Amino acid sequence: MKKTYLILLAAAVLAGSGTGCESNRIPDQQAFAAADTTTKPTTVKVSKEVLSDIIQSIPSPLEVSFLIKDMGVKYDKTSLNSLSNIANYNTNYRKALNLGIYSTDLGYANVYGQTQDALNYVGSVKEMADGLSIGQFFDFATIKRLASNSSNLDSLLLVTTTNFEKINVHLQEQDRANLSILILTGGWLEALHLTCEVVKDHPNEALRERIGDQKVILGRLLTLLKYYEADPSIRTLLADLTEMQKHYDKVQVTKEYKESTTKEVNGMLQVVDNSITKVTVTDEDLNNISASSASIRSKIIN
Amino acid sequence: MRTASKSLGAFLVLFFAGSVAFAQCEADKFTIKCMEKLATGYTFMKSYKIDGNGGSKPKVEYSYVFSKGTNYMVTLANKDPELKGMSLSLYDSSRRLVASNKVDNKYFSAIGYTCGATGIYYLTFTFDETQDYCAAAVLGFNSKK
Amino acid sequence: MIVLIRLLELVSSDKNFTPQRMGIIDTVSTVFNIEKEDYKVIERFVLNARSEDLQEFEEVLVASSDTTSRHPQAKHIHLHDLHGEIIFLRVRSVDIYFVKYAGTEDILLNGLMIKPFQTYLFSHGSSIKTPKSPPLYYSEVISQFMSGHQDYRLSFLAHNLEFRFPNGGIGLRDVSLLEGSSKLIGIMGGSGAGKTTLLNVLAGIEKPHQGEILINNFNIHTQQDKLQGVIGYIAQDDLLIEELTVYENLYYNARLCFETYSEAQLEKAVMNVLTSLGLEQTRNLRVGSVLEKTISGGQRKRLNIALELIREPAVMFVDEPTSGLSSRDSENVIDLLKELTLKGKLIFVVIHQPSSDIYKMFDKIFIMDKGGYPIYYGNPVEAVTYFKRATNQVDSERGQCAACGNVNPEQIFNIIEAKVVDEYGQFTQKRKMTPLQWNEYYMKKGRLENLPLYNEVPPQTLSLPSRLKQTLIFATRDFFSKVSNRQYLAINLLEAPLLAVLLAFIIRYQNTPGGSGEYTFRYNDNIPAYILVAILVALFMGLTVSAEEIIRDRKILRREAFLNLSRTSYLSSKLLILFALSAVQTLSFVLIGNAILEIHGMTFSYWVMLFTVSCFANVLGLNISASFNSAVTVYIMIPLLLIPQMILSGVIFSFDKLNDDLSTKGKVPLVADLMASRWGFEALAVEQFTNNPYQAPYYELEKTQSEAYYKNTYLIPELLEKLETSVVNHRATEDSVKTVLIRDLAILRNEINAEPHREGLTLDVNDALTSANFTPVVADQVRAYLGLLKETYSAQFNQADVKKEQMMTFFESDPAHAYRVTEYKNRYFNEALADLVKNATVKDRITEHQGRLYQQIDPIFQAPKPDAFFLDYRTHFLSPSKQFAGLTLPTFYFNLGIVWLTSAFLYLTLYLEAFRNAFALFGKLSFGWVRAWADTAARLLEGIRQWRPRKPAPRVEPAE
Repeated sequence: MKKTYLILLAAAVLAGSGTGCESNRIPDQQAFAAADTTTKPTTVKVSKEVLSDIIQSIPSPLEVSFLIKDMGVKYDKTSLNSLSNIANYNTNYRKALNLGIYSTDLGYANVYGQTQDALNYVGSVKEMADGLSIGQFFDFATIKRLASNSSNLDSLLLVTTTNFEKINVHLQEQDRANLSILILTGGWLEALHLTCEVVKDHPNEALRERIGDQKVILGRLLTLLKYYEADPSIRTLLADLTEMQKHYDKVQVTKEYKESTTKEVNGMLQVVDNSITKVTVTDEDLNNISASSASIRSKIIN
Repeated sequence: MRTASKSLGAFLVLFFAGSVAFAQCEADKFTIKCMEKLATGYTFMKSYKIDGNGGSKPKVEYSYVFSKGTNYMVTLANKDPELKGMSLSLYDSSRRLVASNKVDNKYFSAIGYTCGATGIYYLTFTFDETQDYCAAAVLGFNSKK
Repeated sequence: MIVLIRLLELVSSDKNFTPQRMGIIDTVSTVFNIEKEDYKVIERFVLNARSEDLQEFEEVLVASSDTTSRHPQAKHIHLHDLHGEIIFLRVRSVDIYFVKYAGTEDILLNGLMIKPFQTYLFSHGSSIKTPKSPPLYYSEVISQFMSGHQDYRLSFLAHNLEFRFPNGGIGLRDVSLLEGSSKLIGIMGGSGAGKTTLLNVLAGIEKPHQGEILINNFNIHTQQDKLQGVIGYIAQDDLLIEELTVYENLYYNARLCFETYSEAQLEKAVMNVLTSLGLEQTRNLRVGSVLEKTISGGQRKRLNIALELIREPAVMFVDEPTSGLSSRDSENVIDLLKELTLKGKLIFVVIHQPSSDIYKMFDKIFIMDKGGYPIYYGNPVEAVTYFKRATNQVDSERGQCAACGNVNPEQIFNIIEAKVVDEYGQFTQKRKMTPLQWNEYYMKKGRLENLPLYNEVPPQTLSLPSRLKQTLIFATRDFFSKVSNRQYLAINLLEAPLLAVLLAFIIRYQNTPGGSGEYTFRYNDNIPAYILVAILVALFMGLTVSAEEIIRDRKILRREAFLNLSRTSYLSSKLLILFALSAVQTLSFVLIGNAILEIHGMTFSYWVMLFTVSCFANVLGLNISASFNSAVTVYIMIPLLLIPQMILSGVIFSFDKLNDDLSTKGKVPLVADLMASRWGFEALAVEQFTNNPYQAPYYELEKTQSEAYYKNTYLIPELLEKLETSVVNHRATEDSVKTVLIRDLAILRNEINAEPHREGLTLDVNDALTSANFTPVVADQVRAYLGLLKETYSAQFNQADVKKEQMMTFFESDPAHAYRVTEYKNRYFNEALADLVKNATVKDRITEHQGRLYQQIDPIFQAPKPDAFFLDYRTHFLSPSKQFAGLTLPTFYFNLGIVWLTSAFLYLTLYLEAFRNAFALFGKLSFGWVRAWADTAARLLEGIRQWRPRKPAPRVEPAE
């Protein structure tokens, strides 16, 4: 009896010491202080107004989700970011990018009425937001209640969209616009990725054009990200996106301007823009853009 | 599914009620009005607080990238039910006027827009005949043709 | 020696004493180192049949029908009607007795017939029975050899004792005794007559209400220091440590008594006692419980006596030593006691239904009757005639059976308790003589014997070891007794690892998000519960292991009380053993539990805390063990003690959601501060969260961020809202609005005053933010200040944020660290615990209470508010640090200290037996008292009620 006990005890001690022993140095503040890295918040030489205006102009990823759904394409969960990746997001940079990615995924699941997935993504979004200290803008209980019933879709989209609006305002107020930009970038990238995935199986001219049209938005995002070039993580992302932009440079956009027409319908003005753009995206360009988006995304989510 | 139901309106009131601050311009109140005006089939995308920088500027401009083939709608509201003196002008990236809510001296509180060319557009809000620089606008979209 | 005797017998059997044969015997005696003198005696004793041949020796005792000795040298006992003579020989050097019989009658030695002219060993407790004369006991024989050897100068005087029971009943009435040394006194009486009470009072266990007991003129109740070790007490129950052997029982007892003895001396003393009590054969047997006997009842009793005997007290008290023993064992035991008296001891024995032989061994008999009346004190045989005479019975002069010499003690009680016979010849319940009548009769008879009263300090053999040594002896004894109990040992040592395996195994699940089927410490939602359960396990184990300790030892303690052993030493030894056990238990629990759940790098912290909590439970357990009389009560107490520990641990029920009478806003309720569980859990939760290798480098930064976040997100907006409300309200005239205004301004005032950043504050808050002085201009200034404050905190937040990101990047890129944030976080950080210590699920992030705003989120990042008074230790739950007496201490160490402090306090109550005394006091309050109190209280209340309306208290206007 005693022997068994001793063996057990010894085993436990071994197990404890075997796993508890670190071969590497454990990080501590002294080590960091000794390394003497200057800790100045990155100052940005651009006015809040300019930043805010560009940020405001980035379209909602929801548009693409609706577009895809209205085309009759089936819901595809495998295109979305896995929930298990959440453990990997421990820096602000990754939290913000993946907050964007998960919010696009949330919108996509919502648009398709995938209640359970939507709830899961609400959880992920909430966790990312908490990690960035912007969790106060998510009334988790309300979102959860709305998401549990697909008939509340309008309210749900409204609430989530409004939340993101508030987050953007807040982050800009707090001099943390870089996070706002990363969230937008993540959301945009995920939307682009989704579109590319759909196009692979469902070749469609409208979607192809939509991918090509992202040239404009990519340009705007790059402008925004450049303000924060000093941040090494953003520098890497910027380099990757600049690579992508090279593929976009080959995309041809021609515009033919025509006067728009206005008429009154049911006490509401209805304006039709008669201008036409032609977007030319070759298969090669499409593949390149698709591959590029996939690789950047995979760097972010894994 | 996409019905802007009455319950949504009620919900909106509740949702924004909490955030009503004691600022000079209570734009959130008007935002709710705008949302209620958003036509059936349109999904809310953005809200604009038009307080003219705390009520000092008679002109406020926002930009947005509209996409080809998508129907957009902007609704406006201020404290006047007729929306008097509150105008919206939409310019394309080349600064050509594409649409306006002011037709024959009448201010329309909702304006639908079908985009033909993807690009940056400018939404310019101006207070023409009012001193009360406080309003709100909402942008919605509908991808169906 | 025996060999020698047998050889001599062999030689003598054919009366052929050749020189060769004698030479062999001579050689044998030399080989065995038998002294020449002894050899000569033995030779003569064996070879000669008659006492005449031995008359020149002193060491010979002859028992014969002669009334006087025929030999001047030898000793003599008169046995009438004995044919021939019984000759005893004492071999002085080895203290052994031999016996041989020269005669024709059938003589029984220990029930066996003895052959005439053969030599027998007359061993301890032997008896010789002859057909006609009374039996000869070992003690009687020995006394002949020993008389006059040791005569203590001892007087034992009990003077007019009266004793009342706690319930008021009288246990003893006017008892007086006077005895000297070398007496065996029997105390007899019907059941309920107060025999044991008398014994306890005489022994000094109970204090008489009147009268005194003097040993050599020293009062045993007030001058114990002079009488140390003089008194020995042998209770009716066994006072043995069942797990130890006979030898060990005696050995530790001896070590506690004789500080100066060397190991060899101790061994010798123990062996001497064992031999003299005939226990040497059983010395290595475990005593065992009464149900699981390894030694006989007689042996147990003798061992009990041995325990007292070894230190040779001058006065001994023995309570019913024969109960439950066979008649032979009984005779043995009493004979043993008799022998002791012959060595000079004074022994009081409570005896119940003694046999005739035993009865006659007493020097005196003290008889009690119901109600504590003494009714006889004197010679045992005369007692019969005394009572017969008192009731005018026939044949009253005959005390014993003439032919057989038997006395029937039953006869005495038949007389005492004789019932009146009614007219139908049936016995009634009424006694012929009441106890009082017997008592009166006795009182008339006379006074105490005239014996010398001494004034010197009685002889003492006791030399107590120092307290530290006592502790060690106690602890060793306890240790060996525990180790010998395999079952106890196995359960106690296996309990912890078993529970750890069970618990950890059950709550370890495939929890990695996304369902990859792996286990990650980070995502184990059960970690907070694990910490709580670990604390509770430590409490449980600590309590169960100790709860029975003192109860089990109580009897032994009672005996050892006569040794004046140190209570501190006893308790220290208990703590030593229990703490050691707790240390092993908690260590095995932590090692196994933490290994299974993959809690890395925290082993020592967990162990220290669990050990501390377990020690606390040990002391608590000892307290209840010392306070209650039965193990059952104690085990009923355990849930009563443990469930509050669960309720008020702060985990199961939030401290914010307790009854308002108990809770204090923003502080842990005082009642919870009494719970070790709350301190233990808090310490471990805080330690695990703040000091794990992942969190440690970033903790301070996150703390800074949290503070800024709370201020910017909740506090400042709340204050701004109050400010705007006040702007609206300050012109109002309605009372209700005014109240709101006053309250809001008070909050603004208090919170701004508590704010460390004061840049941009342009006005005197205490003056301006009052309902009298508040204006929109003031509001503008405050608004501007708060705006600035918000910016300050934004900057503070961002600076910390950037630094944290930079640190992570630095560690990840530095090759010396081989650091991956995700890896570290998965390994060391627990999300569920983080949620708990950050209070992430709380709905109201900020609450208002009595003029202050309280932060509800991130308790772990919230330093205690410094506005406490000097000795105020109180903080919110899960605070990272504590303040006390101007010091800021980390929660882990502070809590550790608190639990130890509580344990120390409990040790004090244990030492003072505070709880036991409190319960005793409570028990004394009879219903009458309670009613009287209730009546008084009711009258008082009534009085207050009537007084109030006449004089209404002046209304106090609320002050600003």
